[in-house]
Amino acid sequence: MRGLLSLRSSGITGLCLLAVACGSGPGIDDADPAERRIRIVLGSEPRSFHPFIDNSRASVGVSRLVVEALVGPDSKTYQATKEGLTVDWRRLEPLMWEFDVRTDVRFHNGEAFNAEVAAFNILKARDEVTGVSSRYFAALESIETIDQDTVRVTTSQPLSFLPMMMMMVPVFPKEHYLAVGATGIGLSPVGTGPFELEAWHKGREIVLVRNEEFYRGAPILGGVRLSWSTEASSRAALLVSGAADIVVDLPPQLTNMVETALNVGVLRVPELTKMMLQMNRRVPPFDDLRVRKAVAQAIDSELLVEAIFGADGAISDPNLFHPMFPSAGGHEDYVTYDLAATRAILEEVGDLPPIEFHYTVGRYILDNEVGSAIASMLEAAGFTVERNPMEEGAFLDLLLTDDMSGMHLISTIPTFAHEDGPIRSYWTTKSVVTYCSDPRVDRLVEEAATTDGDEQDRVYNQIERLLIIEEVCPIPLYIQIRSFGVAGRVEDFLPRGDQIWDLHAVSLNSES
Amino acid sequence: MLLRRLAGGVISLVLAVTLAFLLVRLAGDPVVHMLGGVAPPEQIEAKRQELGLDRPLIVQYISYMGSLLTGDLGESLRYQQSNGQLIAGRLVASLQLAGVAMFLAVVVGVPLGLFAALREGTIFDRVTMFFALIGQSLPLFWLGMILILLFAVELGWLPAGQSGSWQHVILPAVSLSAYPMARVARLTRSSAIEVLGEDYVTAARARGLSNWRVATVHVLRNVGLPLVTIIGLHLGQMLSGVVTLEVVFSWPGLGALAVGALQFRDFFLVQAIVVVGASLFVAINLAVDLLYGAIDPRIRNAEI
Repeated sequence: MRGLLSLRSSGITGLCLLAVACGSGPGIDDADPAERRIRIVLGSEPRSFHPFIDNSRASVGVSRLVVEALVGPDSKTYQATKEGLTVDWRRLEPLMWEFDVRTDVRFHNGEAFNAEVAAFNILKARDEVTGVSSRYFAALESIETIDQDTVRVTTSQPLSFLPMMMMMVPVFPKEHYLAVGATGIGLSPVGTGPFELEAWHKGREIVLVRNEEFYRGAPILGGVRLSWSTEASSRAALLVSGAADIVVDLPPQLTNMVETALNVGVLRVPELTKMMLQMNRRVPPFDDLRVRKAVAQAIDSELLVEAIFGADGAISDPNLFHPMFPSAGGHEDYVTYDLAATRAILEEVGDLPPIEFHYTVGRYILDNEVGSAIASMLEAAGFTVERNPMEEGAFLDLLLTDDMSGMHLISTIPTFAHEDGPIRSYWTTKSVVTYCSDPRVDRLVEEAATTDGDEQDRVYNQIERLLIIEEVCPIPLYIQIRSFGVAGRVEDFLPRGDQIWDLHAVSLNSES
Repeated sequence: MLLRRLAGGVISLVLAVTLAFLLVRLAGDPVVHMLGGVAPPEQIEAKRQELGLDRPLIVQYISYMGSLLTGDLGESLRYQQSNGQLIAGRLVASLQLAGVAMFLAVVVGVPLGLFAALREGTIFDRVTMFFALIGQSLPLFWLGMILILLFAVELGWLPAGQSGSWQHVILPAVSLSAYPMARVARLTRSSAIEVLGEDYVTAARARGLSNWRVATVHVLRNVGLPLVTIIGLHLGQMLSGVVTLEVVFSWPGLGALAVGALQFRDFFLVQAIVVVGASLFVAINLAVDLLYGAIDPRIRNAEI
């Protein structure tokens, strides 16, 4: 099905070019500006407002409009701030932390938020729902309510970034959660966020209304209408024709065209995640470091980015960690594109079996094109590649067996803006998948958790070096740039790289 | 005769449901999707047990067919809501779209075909059939995008997609009507030309009946039979989901629901959509068979 849609979209792209050249039509909404609801068109329908059940692009951002995290992320640095539900924290001992929470906040259903509710949600993150959370929170030994506004957390190992981890904890009202369970609360979410759920017309639309009691002040918008269209060109048409205020994930071939239309623009933001190639180091041929190195040297990631995404679609980056982390980069001996070196290695290694290369179609921006281009580069270098473009679900099925042969194209998970997030997801021996895991990473990540500041950065830099230079697994490729089509009447909307939507200060200008 | 057709319909239905049951299970594991993609194996296994997906296929099949007999279409894995409710909501949207599209196809296609037959070989006939050929050849999604481009983006007269008001129906309905309209026009023309060559039409003309009277009294009644067949066929197809068009227009019909269900591997919802789609198809075919008798008494008498 995805293939069919993908084929079709290439034809539609041409039409959109013409569409944009034609200019834009009038809007339809004439309601009172203060009460106006912004119309956002997503790429797909969220499955759940519980971020542990659905961590897709569509859900992660919009769920935070209703359900806040225990610790709020800064809108620019994505680091933990003390301006959300948690107003302060301290590390009493290496293994003991205290978090002070607001006590003047009520959930949309009237339940009160306090330290007991905060502790309840941390416990749920550790013990319930899915492996996503439990793998991160397994090191939380005890969670106690000290008083009305203080929670004490004791960990089994030092976790200097615990406040960052708390940015992953969704805060639900205890009574409602106990009544409907994790799945139920994801479908009928109640939180403390700036908007509350008014209606979810399944498969059609989600309507949010402003939370008048929001502790940071009621949002300017009257509400949010969320709908979705899987077809990017349809989203672009909705924007250009005035039927949508914001549309997400415009592919590069559409963004340039949308920008030329009247009264709409495109905002871009680099994602917090990194696209990379992972290889199954446990089985041939990738158990051989020389072969992994040959693959890395056969791929010209700068050319890849330029040819497929153009100037504004992605950023080529040789480091494992995102450039926003001080620990990223600074190495002198990156494994870079070197076709002659690849050919020399292949000659030295001798006959290689065909390499299985798995990549998704439609999970990431232009992933099918990227997969094809990488396969072609490898073939040009002398590899024989068996291409396996896959639908997202089938890919995940295979990936999670932790026994997928060959190599695959994947992105890091946008858990929280800290090196520990991707490391615990992919590169320790206890990670969710262990294709590029290394026992030395286990030791280093424990060491990093006991330190902070420059010393911690040094350890993470060492992990980066170990993985991408010494072991050449994974192979970092590029950072995706997410593009939002935005109507001219939308003011103060700032897209974020951590996929979270912040619409608190956004307004609609009736004069545009 | 009616009983035989009913039995044929039931067999078709059982076959369609069985095929859907088997095919969706070839697509992979829905539990992995449900649990966010990174759940541990033990949790995935527990969910499989909860949903009964760990049981042998034949047991799942018998249980499923048993539920269907009681009218239970199951619960959606994705929405945690009754499939019946979900489909009912979407069916209304699909009925609305298909109904308007078929109405347009008939009220435009039949007169065009009839006039083309009455003026066989003229410029009008050729132009009409040329456009009918175009209408049959255009990909739905392409036509949809062209209409969006023109009427939503350029002129700003109509919404580019989604649903909510009568204006939202126009563009997708016009797009959807293009193919059946073309077929109806061509079929009407060819059937009418055949009828116009019959002796009784010549006799009617000899009696001094006007072209209009000949067309409406003699010709139209005789082209009714093939027309009903083609209308029934297309209506069934429309209701069971015009996937690409619903995606282009973000139209919340059965087709879009089916796409979402397939992408999420919502087995139970996919199966339910197939059951409803196949039932509609069978029901429409039966209705067409019954209409034959009403249109042509000879068929009714032959059955007796």
